[in-house]
Amino acid sequence: MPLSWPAIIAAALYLSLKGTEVIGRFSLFIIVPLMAALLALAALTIPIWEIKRVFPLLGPGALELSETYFIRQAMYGEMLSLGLICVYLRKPEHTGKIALWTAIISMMVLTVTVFTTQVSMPYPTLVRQSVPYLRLARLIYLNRFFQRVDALFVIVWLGDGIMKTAIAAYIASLTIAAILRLKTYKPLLVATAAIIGVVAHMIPGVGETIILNFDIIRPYSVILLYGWPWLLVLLGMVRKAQKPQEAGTR
Amino acid sequence: MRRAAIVVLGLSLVMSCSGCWDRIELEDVAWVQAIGFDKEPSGFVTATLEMSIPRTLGGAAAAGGIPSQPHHATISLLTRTGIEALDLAGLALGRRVSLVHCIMYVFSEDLARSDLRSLLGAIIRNPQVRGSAFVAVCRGRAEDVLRLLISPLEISPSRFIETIQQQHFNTGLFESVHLADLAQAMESESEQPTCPLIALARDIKSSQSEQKGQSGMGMQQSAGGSSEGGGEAEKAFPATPDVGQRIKIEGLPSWLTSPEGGPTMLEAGELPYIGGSPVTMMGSAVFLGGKLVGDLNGEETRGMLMVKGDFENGMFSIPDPQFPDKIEYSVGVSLSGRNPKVHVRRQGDHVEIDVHISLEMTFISMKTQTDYTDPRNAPLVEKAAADYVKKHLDRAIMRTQKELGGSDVFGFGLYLRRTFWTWPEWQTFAWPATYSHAIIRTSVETHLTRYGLELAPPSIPPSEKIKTKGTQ
Repeated sequence: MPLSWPAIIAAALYLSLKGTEVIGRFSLFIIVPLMAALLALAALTIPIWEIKRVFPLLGPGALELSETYFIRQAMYGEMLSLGLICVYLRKPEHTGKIALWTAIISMMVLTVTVFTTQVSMPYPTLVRQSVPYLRLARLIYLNRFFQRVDALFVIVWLGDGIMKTAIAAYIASLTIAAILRLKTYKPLLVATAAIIGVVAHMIPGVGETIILNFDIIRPYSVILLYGWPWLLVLLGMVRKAQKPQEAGTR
Repeated sequence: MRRAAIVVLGLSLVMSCSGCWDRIELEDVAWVQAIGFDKEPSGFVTATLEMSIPRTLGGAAAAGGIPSQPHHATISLLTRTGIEALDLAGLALGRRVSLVHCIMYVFSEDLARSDLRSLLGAIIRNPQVRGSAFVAVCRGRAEDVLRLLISPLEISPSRFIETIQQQHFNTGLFESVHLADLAQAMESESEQPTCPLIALARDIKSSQSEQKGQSGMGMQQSAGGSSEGGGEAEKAFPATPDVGQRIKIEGLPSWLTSPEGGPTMLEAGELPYIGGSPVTMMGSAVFLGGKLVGDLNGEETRGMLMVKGDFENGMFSIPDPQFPDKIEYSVGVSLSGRNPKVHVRRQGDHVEIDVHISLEMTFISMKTQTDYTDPRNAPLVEKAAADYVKKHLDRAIMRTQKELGGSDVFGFGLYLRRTFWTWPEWQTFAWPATYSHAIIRTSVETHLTRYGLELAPPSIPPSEKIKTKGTQ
């Protein structure tokens, strides 16, 4: 019986139950091997790099590139998540600084990732890869010794998966608790974790997951990304407009 | 502290949930070291798996690397897609067959001519397969090559595969290509794929045909590497030839022994030699898309590698500049250099490419009467070496443009891509169709940097020297 997914969800559940402090500490613990793995993969694939593969520089064209950029930015909803949880941080006044560092680190990681994959695997081979970094790890060939080490990277990425699931479960529970005006989000966590597990198994296969991700979640998340803050502003304005009336009726 | 211990324990428990339900015992697996594919007339593919026999390898290591029993076995199976051979082989071997440690994929020439893309796509999709495995196209049947893919110096085929691949860096007479590189190049519009040619030794092929003529049977070999047993083929091509056994001269091309000829201008399976391993790797198989369209010989392959920046080092026998028509005189040099300069200019559909190769030269032998270490004579050798390299490079470029269907194995397209802003523009340009018409100019220069441990060739009395105008 494959037990990996309950193990990941159980670990994520534990972290999210403990709140932002433990998630933060876990992220500090996991970021070292994660960054080391990223840089090691980039360095170890240098022998197969071909810098000329980045040309033509504009890829599919400036317009299509901008369109793709606009749609894909919904993938990186961390800033929105940060805004949601900022009041629960130890020092909420540092949220701006945290956001800046998050953006800088994300930009660096994204640049290294995209550059490494692009110069190691040319278009159109790269776009067909379901797990590009795993494929990259399997291309490392440093004589007899260092060529079958991709399993090491997978263990590190497992930590990243646990952290991402924990943050998702935490934010989802926190948002639902806020909407329902509950004092604590913790009772909702088990249900959220169960929903994550069940929904993950509702999708029949990897193919469907990719279609769901590329054709539905990414394009339509843009609506959420831009619509959510404006909706809040709108609701705030409505509420503000209602308040004097409520006060007047009393 | 207690809390940290609980967290670590909890995480360990969570991680261990995965358990070992799907564990695989090493002793239950047959580890394939190399796999070969042959085309069958019916459209089927014969897949041949070469596996080590672990118990004999252990014994061989203890006995100083000389196994007394066959240390590898092969099995050939008729399949539709090639990869289902893994399941079918398990029925005959009684073990689960794994490609996790497979280090080489060999495709027969016939199969490669019919387009490898679909087969390669099926292979590379398999999670067991590593993109870092080596690939080769073989002359004749891949199953025959795999049955003899051994070296008297190594105890396992995989070790031999790795050590023979290292000769790419030592000689430049073939290109070491990984499976992922081949698959990527097959769908690239900027470069065309190549991979090394591998073949049975020339003498073994002739002995096979002799055997066929005598008994009507071909080579029968299912397990190899035995110092006592071994198949007919190994007996016909022993690692140490019998006293009196000579290289067969008949059948060699006449130009080979001309002043301008040499064994490095041959390909795998043509090299005149006896002893050692019955399998050689030399030259390059040239593809256009997924189809094999021809080959480059050893020297042409060196030219290709120099342009690609993949040429590390190699020994060259250059005719003596003073006596170019006398085959008994030649200069042996080692050339190295990895920084080609390629300049591409494009005006509309007209493409002009300038290639400049700069190589460092070291004297390794001076089978000549002239002292070429003398600074006054050294430029003669530098020019002769540069001319020699340029001649083979130009020939390789000409052949890929005219004879091999316009296959840009040099990767000039990668340089040309810089002159475009977007992919649609580059794709509309259709470089594979334009390559044949591109004007390519080459220049080669060599610099003599090292002379070896002697400052001059052995002295010869003036009366025995051959007189020429240019002798100094």
